[in-house]
Amino acid sequence: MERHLTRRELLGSFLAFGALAAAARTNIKPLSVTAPMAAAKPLRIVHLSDLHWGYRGDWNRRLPETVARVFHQVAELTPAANLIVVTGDLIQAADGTVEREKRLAAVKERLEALRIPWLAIPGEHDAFGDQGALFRKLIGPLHFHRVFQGLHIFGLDNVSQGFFLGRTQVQWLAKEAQRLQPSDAVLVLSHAPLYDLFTPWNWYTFDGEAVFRQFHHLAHRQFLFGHIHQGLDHAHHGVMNHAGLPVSWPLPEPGPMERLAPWPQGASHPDMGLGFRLLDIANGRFQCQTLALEDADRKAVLR
Amino acid sequence: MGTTRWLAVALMGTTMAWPFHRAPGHRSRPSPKPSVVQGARLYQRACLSCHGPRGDGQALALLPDGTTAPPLDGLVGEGRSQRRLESVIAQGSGMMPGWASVMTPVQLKSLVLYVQSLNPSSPASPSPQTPRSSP
Repeated sequence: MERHLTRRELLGSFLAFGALAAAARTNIKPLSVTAPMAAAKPLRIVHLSDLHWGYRGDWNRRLPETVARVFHQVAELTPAANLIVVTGDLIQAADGTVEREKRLAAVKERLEALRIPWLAIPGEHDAFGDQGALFRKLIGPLHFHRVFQGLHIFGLDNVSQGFFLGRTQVQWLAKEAQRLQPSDAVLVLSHAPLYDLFTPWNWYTFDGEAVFRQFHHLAHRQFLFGHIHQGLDHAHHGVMNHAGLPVSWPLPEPGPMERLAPWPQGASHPDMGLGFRLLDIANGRFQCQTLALEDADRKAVLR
Repeated sequence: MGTTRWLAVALMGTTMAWPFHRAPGHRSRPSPKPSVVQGARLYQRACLSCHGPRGDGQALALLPDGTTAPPLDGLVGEGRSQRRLESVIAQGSGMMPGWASVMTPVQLKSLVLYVQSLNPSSPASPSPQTPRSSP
């Protein structure tokens, strides 16, 4: 039996095509990650991760340039972001205190220049050598609870002592969580994933289950993390966990490789896998989008 | 209705106050003891990535400074007492995290047992050429 398109289906197809064309032009790739989420008013949050400022090597041969382009894209967002969150590894680990201080100060200066409120938690590179003392001094507390336009933001430290939170932080978290109402919306930031993503590569938090337990009574929860250098969305105990795109270099998925190792930056597609993510909370809905630096229409230089 | 309620309360009170004795053969729940099996599980979760699956320092993930954690398969020897090993695992040393802030004393002791079992002075593994058994 022959089937004809209805006017509504035709219109839907045009709209879908238009959305795809717009996405290809702007590199914004809407994901199917939407969920109920309450906030006092519409919120746009930029999720940056793994800048590794100060790195020199072939994983990203032009890191300062990459960082500058990402920050430029953040500044140009329309509508503008209300908040920036950085899920760790602002800098590449360095031996000397002076060098680490220089690197952290450089990232802080660039974040401040955007004139958008920002929050950051440490990655293991930021806490390297002093268990986060310098990060605490220059950037802020290693773990915190802030309320931003009605959204409860918890920054957790699962790197400074090891890939765990530790009893003290879990006790603090339990106290803070008890004060929340079931209708409160919570955004949790951590560097390493709070669930066991791949323990042989330290992609986990030893006691991360405690966080899921503390917030289980809340209806609106979204967890953000970094560390794995690739965009990923995963539900664990009914909570969506979103990995941020790296600004620095991508990492492979666990699977064929036994040892974790990045690959040299490609000549034709140097921005492969790099970028940031956008979180929009509006009309009681949460949407997570990916903004990749890689230009889909880029012509390969090697033919 | 009132009589039933009072009977129920009286029955509950009697049940709670009665000096019950444990049934023959009943054993109270044993307190957890350190075990090498628990240690192996903990090692896989907490230590393997940096010290390698065999504890020989063949790490699966590098430390932030690009180095690897030291091997653990030679720690049982002179001057390397169990207490010292437990202290390092519990308190940390250098880039090694102090696991006491997240593991229980029993878990720490279990980990020590497993790490001690990684001693390479155990009988060497047979090479593929060495016949393991004769028919």
